[in-house]
Amino acid sequence: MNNRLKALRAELGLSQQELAARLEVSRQSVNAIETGRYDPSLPLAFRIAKVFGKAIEEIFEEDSK
Amino acid sequence: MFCSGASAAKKRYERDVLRFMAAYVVVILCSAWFVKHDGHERFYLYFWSVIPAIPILGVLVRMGQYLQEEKDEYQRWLVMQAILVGTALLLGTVVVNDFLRAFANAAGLPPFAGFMIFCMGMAVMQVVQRLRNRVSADE
Repeated sequence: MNNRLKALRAELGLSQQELAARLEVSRQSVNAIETGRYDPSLPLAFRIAKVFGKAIEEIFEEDSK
Repeated sequence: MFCSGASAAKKRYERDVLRFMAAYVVVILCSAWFVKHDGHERFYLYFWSVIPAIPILGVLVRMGQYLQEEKDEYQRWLVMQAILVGTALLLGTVVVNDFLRAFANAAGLPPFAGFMIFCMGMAVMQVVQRLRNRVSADE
């Protein structure tokens, strides 16, 4: 799954640590999601979407083959 | 640099594991002493043989509790991955050893090897995870 987390975070001027604090996860988790090493669960995806004020599908998209 | 990712639940878990291991050191010394000096009766021999297993079982139970307490799903996933690798290494070793014992009359695994193999598998996976996280830690 691809995501626009890094770009959206940059738009808001948030560091990984600040985003992690807002999501109540570790910075490691934010990093793993940004780099595509981990796909978040639906509840976490909803929390991420809420932080950026966007729909989940505007942040996450399926891998295009 | 490594990401600093230890949650409150993980810190509590690590603290409790250290306590269990400290208890294990004390108990194993006591058991060895009692078996040597008072190990003639079968009941006491069994008793002092089983007692050192309790802190180790405590670590396993605490591991399960940690997985329930950990709110950070990525951290939980990392620990579950490490547990799976440890379990796979242990079961793989046991299966190979069983066939060697059955068909080649090879010796069984030495005492305490099981838990050590499990821990080794977990440790190797945790090192791999740390290396992976280190590579991509820069923002």
